Amino acid sequence: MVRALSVAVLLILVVIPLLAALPALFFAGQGAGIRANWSLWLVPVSQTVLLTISVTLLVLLSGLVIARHIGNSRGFAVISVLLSTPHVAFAVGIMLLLSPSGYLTRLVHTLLHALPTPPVGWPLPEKSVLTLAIVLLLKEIPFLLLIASTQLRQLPYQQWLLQAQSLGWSGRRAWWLLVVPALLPRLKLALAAIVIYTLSVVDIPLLLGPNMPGVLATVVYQQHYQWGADNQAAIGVWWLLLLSAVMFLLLQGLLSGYPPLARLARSHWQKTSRRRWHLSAGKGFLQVGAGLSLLVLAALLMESFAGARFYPALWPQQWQASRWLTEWPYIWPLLLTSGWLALISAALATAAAIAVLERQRRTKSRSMHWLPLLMLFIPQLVLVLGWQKVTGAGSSGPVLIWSHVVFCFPYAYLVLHGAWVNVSDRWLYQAQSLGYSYRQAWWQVLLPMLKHAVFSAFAVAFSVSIAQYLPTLWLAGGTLPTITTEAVSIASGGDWRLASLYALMQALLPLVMFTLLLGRKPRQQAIDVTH
Amino acid sequence: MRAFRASVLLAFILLFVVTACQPLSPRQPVLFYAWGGNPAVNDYLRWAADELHQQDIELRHVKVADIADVVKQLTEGQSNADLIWINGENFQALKAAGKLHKISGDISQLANINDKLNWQTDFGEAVEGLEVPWGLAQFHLLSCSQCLQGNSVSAAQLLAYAAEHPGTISYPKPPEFHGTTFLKALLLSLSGTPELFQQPVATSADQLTAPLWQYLEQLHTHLWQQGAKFPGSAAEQLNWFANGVLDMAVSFNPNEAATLVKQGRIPAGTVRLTLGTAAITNHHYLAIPTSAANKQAALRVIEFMLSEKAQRRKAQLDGWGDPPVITMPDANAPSLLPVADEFDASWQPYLEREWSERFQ
Repeated sequence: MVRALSVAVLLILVVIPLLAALPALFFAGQGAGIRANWSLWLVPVSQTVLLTISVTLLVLLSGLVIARHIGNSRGFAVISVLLSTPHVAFAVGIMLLLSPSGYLTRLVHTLLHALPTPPVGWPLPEKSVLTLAIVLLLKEIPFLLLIASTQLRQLPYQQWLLQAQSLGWSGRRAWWLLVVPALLPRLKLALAAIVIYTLSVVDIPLLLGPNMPGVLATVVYQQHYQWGADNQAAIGVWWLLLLSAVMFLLLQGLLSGYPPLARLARSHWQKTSRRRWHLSAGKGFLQVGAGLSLLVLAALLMESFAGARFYPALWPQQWQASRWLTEWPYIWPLLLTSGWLALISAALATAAAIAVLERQRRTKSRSMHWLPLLMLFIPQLVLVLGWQKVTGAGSSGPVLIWSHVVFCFPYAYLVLHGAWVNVSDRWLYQAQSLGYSYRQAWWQVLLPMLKHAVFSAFAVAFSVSIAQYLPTLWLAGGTLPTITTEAVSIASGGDWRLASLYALMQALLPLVMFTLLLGRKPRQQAIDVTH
Repeated sequence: MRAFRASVLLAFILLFVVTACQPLSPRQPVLFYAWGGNPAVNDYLRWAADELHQQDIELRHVKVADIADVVKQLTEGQSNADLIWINGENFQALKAAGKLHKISGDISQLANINDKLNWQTDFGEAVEGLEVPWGLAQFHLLSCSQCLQGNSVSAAQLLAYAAEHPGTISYPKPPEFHGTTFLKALLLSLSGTPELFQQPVATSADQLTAPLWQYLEQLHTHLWQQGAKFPGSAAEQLNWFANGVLDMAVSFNPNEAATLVKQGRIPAGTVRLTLGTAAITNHHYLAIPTSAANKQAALRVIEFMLSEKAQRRKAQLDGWGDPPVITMPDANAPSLLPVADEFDASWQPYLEREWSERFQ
């Protein structure tokens, strides 16, 4: 039963989506005969390579630095908030805060009277690779931390640290030379997902990325809608696939290169003095992260009530509640659509992840498998293009839910994996010895013990569904507008006051979900259910 | 855990209800694909939907970030659009692909169209009844009252201003269509033979445009960021203008100086002026794709959009402020700018290509 379920899940959520995307690959095949327009691709490709490498490295580095200190602390409440804010809402908020005419420069001017006009050469222009990188970093570090913490639970790393300490190693040395080499391979698949996301995300660079020219994904997106004989979009799809492959190889090299280096360092790198900056870096990130996500929400809220607000005025010249009042009747149905779509998708995705993981638990296959995560390793653009060719535009309901589940499922699997495969059979046996049937024991003992992991997986899957832009837009063909598709389309007009209102509403749903499911106590297992 | 099981069950029930309810929707909606970036236009379409609701028509505005998306889908035969808002190269592509219904005979309101408007050609392409005018666009500049002055500014005056106030002038980067139209307006101002641009691009084009490229070589050294970067869109330039980064913005809506001030989007005291002696004028249209599932209702929507009530509402300065295309007895909308005819469509790709070869 579990075996059949697990196979069915993988078939419906991995194999069929892959097969359905093949038309896009054929479409890309036609591109082979087209002369590549080098001037069109050179800059986007190099920008994307730069962005992907630097974002991934920075995410990994800061993730590892921070993970050491928040492995089991209250910091996860903060991480949950950061994780739950949809990318687009976060992007709009960051732009309001940090752009040349944003709150920061206005504040500087108000305090110092130093910037009567928005500064030229401000390090964070409205649209640039740097702005894009910062938003991606802030969104991806919490994701890596979530995965790192679930993976850390499977390692007796506290014991290693204690032993190392008793040998006189500094905590930092023990972390980097003992724990990290063991942790890194377990993060490989999550890192691969981060690489692909950075490479292929469309909606954030459309909002914040450079446009002269754009990053690869946005150029492919735009070329897809250019008509004409030599369809450069096909070449773009090949570029995306090529870059994915190259980035995977680099990642593989990095991950397999680190443990030997650490081994070398263990024997040659002598003891060093204890230093505290790691601790402060870890805490610092949480404080900055928490502060920033609060500021983002505050900026969105303020902007949504603002009347005219021209530089250098710090506060709006007048406040308007009318925008909320007139928009609310139109936003409400959007929230409803997004909400039920996300509820169903997240429920199905979590159930699917449980089915696959339950089979892994029973077969004692503890490692993280790549197959359930496959859909994260193929650029979303390529997948959705292919699906659209099969299903046509304007297919609402079931197809749309299916596409959302396809993208929610791998995240649910990633989040749930650590806790699930390590739960001990002992609990089931004991329950059975007390007279429960196996089924009863599973439902009434095992599942409640894993409640928190299930809730986390559900909440993450929920926010993944809320943030879906491309599948919703292209598969539903506009017949099923969600808060996210509307927010992106309104943002294209550049009226940030209205866009802020939509972004805020987009952030609301996942925030409510995270608060409901995870907010009551810190994300910790009440009992240690592992071996 | 019962709660979890219950919620999964509930989700399945919801899924069932939602999918089951869809065919029960009372009226087949008219799916109107139109750009969704302008809140004033969105508000207007909400009003129109309410009005049409009383006629038992459900108008649904499908907001797109770029209508070219839909054109692409239509030419590949995969769209559910019943009604679209287009002009220029989008119209040309759809006409060439034979994807539009001939609807002029079905619209009685066409008799009321203002006959002074040159709407029968759309960027040099004969309309031939495949689309119906909805409103009109006039390319002009917005500026602060102390910046560019007068009712018009010539190419030479703009250059002088840019030299005097370096870094305050820029324009959307072509091929963004505001940017390309900026180039056209400069061409008209620099050239003595405006009528030649209504002809398709010919061998004389290089000679005709030579003054423009020489002019831009000079202008770019004085532009914002010395012309190394440009605003990505008119909307972006408008925000920079509103916050004092730039001294000018570009617009296609002749009433936008008034409507945007009312919306609090740009500072009070913003003035409009033409680049050159007249504003390049074109029209925007409604059309029905041959694949439309709901053609009859879409026709009634067009009929309504051209009615006096709808056109008057569209022109209101506290809303969209788009000029009417029908003759109205007591139209008190602000006067139009002096009209310059739009270029033939073949100039669009020509200018875009030549520009990017020189300045990209």
